[in-house]
Amino acid sequence: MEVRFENVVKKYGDFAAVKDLNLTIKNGSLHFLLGPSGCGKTTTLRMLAGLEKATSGKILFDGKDMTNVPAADRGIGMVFQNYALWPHMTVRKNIEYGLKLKKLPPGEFKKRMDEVLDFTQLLAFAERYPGQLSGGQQQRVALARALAIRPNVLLLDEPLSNLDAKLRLEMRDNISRIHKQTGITTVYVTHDQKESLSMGTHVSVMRAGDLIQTDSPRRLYHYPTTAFIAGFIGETNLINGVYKGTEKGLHTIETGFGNILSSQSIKDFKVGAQLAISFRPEAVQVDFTGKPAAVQVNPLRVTLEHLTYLGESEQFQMKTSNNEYLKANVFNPPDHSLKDGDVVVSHVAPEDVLILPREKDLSSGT
Amino acid sequence: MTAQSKSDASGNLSRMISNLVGYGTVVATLLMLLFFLVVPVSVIMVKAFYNDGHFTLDYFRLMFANDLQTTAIMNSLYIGLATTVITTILTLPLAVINAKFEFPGKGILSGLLLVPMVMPPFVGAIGIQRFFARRGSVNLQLMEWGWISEPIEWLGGTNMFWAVVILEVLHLYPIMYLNLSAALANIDPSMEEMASTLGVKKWRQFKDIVWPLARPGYFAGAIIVFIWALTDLGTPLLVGYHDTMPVRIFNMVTDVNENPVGFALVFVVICVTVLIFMLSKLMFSGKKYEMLARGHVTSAVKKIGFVKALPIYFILLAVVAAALFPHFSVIITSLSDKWFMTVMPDNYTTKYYEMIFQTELPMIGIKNSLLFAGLSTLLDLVLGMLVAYVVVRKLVPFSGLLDSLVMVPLALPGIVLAFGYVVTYSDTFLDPLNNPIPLLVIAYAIRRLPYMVRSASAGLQQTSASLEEASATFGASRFYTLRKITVPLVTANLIAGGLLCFAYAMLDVSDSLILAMKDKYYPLTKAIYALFLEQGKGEFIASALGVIGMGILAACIMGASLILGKKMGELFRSG
Amino acid sequence: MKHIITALVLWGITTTAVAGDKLIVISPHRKSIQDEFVPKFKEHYKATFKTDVDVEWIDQGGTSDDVKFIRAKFEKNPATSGVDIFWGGGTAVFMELAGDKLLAPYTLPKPLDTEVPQSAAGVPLFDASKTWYASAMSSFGIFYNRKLLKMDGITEPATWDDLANPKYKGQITLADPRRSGTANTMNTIILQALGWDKGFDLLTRIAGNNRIFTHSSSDPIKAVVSGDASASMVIDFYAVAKIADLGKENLGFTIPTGQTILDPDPVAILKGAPNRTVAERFVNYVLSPEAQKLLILPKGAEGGPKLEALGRMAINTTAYTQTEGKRATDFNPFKQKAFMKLDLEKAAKMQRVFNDLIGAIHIDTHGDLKEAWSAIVKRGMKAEDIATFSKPPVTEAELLALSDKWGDDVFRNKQINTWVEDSKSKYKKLAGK
Repeated sequence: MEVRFENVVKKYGDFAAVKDLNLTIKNGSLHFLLGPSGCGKTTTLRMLAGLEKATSGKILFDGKDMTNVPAADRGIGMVFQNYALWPHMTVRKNIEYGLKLKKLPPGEFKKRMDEVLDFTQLLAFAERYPGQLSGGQQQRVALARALAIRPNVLLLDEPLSNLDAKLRLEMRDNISRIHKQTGITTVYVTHDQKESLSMGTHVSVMRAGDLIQTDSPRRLYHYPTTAFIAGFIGETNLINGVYKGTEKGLHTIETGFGNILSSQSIKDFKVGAQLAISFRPEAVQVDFTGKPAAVQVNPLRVTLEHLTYLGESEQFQMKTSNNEYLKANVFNPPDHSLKDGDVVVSHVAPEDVLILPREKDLSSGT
Repeated sequence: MTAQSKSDASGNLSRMISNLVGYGTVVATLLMLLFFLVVPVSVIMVKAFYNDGHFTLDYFRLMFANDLQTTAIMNSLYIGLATTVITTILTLPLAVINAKFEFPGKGILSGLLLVPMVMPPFVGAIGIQRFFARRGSVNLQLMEWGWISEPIEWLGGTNMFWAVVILEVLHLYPIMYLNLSAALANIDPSMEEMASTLGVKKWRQFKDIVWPLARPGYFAGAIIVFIWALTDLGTPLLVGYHDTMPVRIFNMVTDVNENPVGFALVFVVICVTVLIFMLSKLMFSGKKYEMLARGHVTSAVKKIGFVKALPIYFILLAVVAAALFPHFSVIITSLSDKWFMTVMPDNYTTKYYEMIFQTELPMIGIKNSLLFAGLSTLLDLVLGMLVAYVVVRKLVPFSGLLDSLVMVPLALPGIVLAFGYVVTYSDTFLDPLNNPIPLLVIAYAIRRLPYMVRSASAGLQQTSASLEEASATFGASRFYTLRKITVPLVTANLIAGGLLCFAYAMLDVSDSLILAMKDKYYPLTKAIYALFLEQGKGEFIASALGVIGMGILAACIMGASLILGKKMGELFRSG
Repeated sequence: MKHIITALVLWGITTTAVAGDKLIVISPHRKSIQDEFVPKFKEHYKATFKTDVDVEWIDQGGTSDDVKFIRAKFEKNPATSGVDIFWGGGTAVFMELAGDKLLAPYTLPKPLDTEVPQSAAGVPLFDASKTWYASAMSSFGIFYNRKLLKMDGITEPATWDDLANPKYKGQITLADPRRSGTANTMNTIILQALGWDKGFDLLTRIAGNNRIFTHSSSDPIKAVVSGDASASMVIDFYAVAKIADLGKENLGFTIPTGQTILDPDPVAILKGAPNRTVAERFVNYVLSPEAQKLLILPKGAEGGPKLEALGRMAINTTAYTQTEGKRATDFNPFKQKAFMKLDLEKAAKMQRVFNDLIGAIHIDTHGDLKEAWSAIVKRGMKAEDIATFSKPPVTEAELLALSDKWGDDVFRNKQINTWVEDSKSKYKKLAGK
């Protein structure tokens, strides 16, 4: 099932929770709606489910206008953030409740129940009440309940946010596996960028009611279109600068600690335009020798502020000459004798430097 | 000894003292219940088991052998059942409206819905009779319009039963309404949304999801309504329906030549009540579904404008108008001048209100009632909080029994407790003949204790014990914690319970009539009673005073409702 | 918080310390009696004995509760109840209290002993042992709603017999004699006046016409005024007060001619009265011409009541001779021919059993009784029907015999159960069920 939002707006009084949303969720995709809380992602999901009515615009399922179809008739399965398990029903009752309404032949009914219980490894807990289950088990019940009816679209609203870290990893695999096996178009709302990168086929990033970018996780990470996304997805060094000009495919940006060159594509900025550059900490190459090569592009003369050694990697907190902080992340670090206060020259390759429009506010919007 | 251990030692000492004081208060509370509930009631109830100084169970045998008593028991059970059923049907839509919609004026209307709880005694009867007498206002009007040719016996014959039920419903529905509203509001909206996504129709959602989850809260309210209707004396007396258990008891117990079978009947009522209460606890205590983390609540309450809310206004105002009819009739009576056999009075006057302020008695009554009800409410706050704490945190063995014990006053005919006090405490320093204030305050407090205990319990059950444990980890004593952590957390419940205790204490009849013997100690209700009996204009002055009392209490209830919102509903939970 | 409590307590307890004599009166009397008598008594006391007296007036809301209270007090301490005077509530109560020796005998001083004669219109004004004295008298009659009777096309009642006529079916409201001293006295008097069989017949037929037995003696008045019932048997002063308020054209009151019934309302000194001397002075005062005039003079007359006419009859002959031509009504009980001689001893002896009997076969089974009566009326009032309907289950002698065993509550309730069962099946049979 392909889901399409066309100019969808949702207002609560004067407050626009979702502003003019245009988005296509491809059939069979595991599509993430990612953003900080209050960005409108859950509202979007609830409009998709039919639990919330769009103020204007259309929602289409396979081209069919579903905007005014009640939730009950949309053929969706939903997992709520709090699971919304009915506490007065056993696991089995919870799961079969929706299925019973489908009036399936008895054989089919049993088959589906067995299938879904097996799928979610809940057979042993089938006769328990939700109150007697652990968080992970509850989550699986919620998932099983939504899947049992074989929905056209599966909607997951922050399904892992109530679980501990280890369980979260486990459930990520679980959900990915289920998605692969069933192929159900799945919309997954989260504020956890790691979940979206690791699981999603597509990720839509939202902020303050706006959809900013929709892309594959890989492209999103490498080619964020805004400074906000660059900061939100993974870690980055974000520095304000002024565009100076382009020569041989290399764009020159003047920053507080010198000019930086970038070979990344660029929107048509005028010379003198205020913009921002972003490069990932892992793109920063730290010189451990103390004798950097003479000719280097984008040299960064920095003072080491703080070093965090993690074994497989080492994080560097560094300060530039004009007191801007930079981060570097070195994988497989050599045995070295650098310490806090040392001055080193690092550099970043022009292809790793992204040029982005300057954000009015660089905070994530939370 | 190091400084550290020294401070530990002094901490231990202060903790010990605090615990001593704390447990001392608990013991004092229990003693209070013993001396002012168990002993006085037993002193009276013993009469059900003795004939000429010999133990006998004959009264029970005779009671069940008498057709009249068994009919009365059955009638009362039917009244209780019918009242509960009709109240449910009436309040369910009201509670759903309250839980689902937000509309202009909701606060005031919700408050108005609660006002029927307060009806001053005695004067209600005059108003009702004025309107529903054989040739009363309603029949006169209907005949004038030519709708009927013969008067309808509204309060006569077989209509009596339904007249009682309707009046009970109009009086008690606020309790059910509060309970249901609270129960519905406590349900996570995602429970229903989930069902919506599965394609479940609204009415099935209600049947399969909402109702089962609201049921424990509903039953808690239903049991109070049931017990109340079962044991209510005032309404059947007002209508003149004497074939009910409480009226039979009242007849036999207040007969100059009292009949011990009446006490046997009281014993049965107490047993039935405690049984129902315990049964309800047993049935529902294990089934209180703690809600897991709550989901998004944005769609729980639907905001609608004035125009869309018109049907809602219509329903709410219709209920309020019907329920406030008796109150309205009292107001008309108090303002009427020489009203005789006309639909409405030909002339109106405020002279009865002026008379109130001319004689001393009404002002004494208002002043005394405020004092007694105020003091009894303070006492209830302390007793209720401690009992609830002891019961909810299971600090004493048989805490369930204690919980049932404090429910007994709900079932106890007022007169039994009051005479129990007279018999037990005459010629002691508490002799009501000398100064009834201590016993009156205690009687008021004991009789309203169930509401406070229920209210405080509801608050405590929602307050996780871990908050108290956190305090304990800092070395605070249990009762320091109670004072500094627990009580502040349940303040809303306590205020709500306190307002109820206060309102019902202001309306108390039995204790007031029997214990306040000298007019300088008359509370409002006894002042109303004294005026009511006065030949000539007494009933009009009594009505005027009743209206003033109503005004004071309506203000209390409205205030409480506006301040506390849905927390009011937790008050009447019995489980 | 503590300050508030203290303030509240201080606010409530504002007892005024009075140096002087003290008297404690328990009385179910209305407030109007208290308001007229007590201040006058205090004045009189100060003038006569040169000292102040403080009167504590206590009431628990009605005769039966007041009696219960006194009994409870004596149960705790047989020597004294801590109360001096019991005033008002009907003779039956005083006969009972006297029978249980809870009242103290007292002989009136001169000239009171002659001013208060042995009886008025056949009604004794004190008992043989002089434990109680009538302090006032009231008469009974039929109170009716003229407008309502006209609407229903019924003639105004004139005799007790009228009330038993089937045309008054569903038109009457009466008080429950087990709860209303007034109703109890009326029943007793009708029985003694007409004899057991005839009296019982009348009472049974009136019960057939009766709409409802109310709890309080004031309820029937309200039923008549509000348009529920056309007529009731009530005490005179209630009716007089209502007629004064709402007009003679709307309401009527008649004392059936030749069937005058008077009810003395006694005052008595309780056994072990803590203030015996003051109590005697109070009784003397209440019976004195000065105080008795308060009962019979109109409002505002010299020596009369200040707030409202009390509308009762005095028991002091001098009070009448001193007020000729000034009284609210011309009625003088001492000039009435005795309609009957009330046997109060007998009345007191049978009171308990009789009330339980009436309760069992008239009141608690009233629904069945009414159906039976309707059926009888429909069948054309056959004499044998009526005879069966109104035949008492016991003779007067049997009833009196039962009263000796009535202290045994098990026996009593067995008997009550039998009466209920028998009368129910009788009424059902008559109703054709």
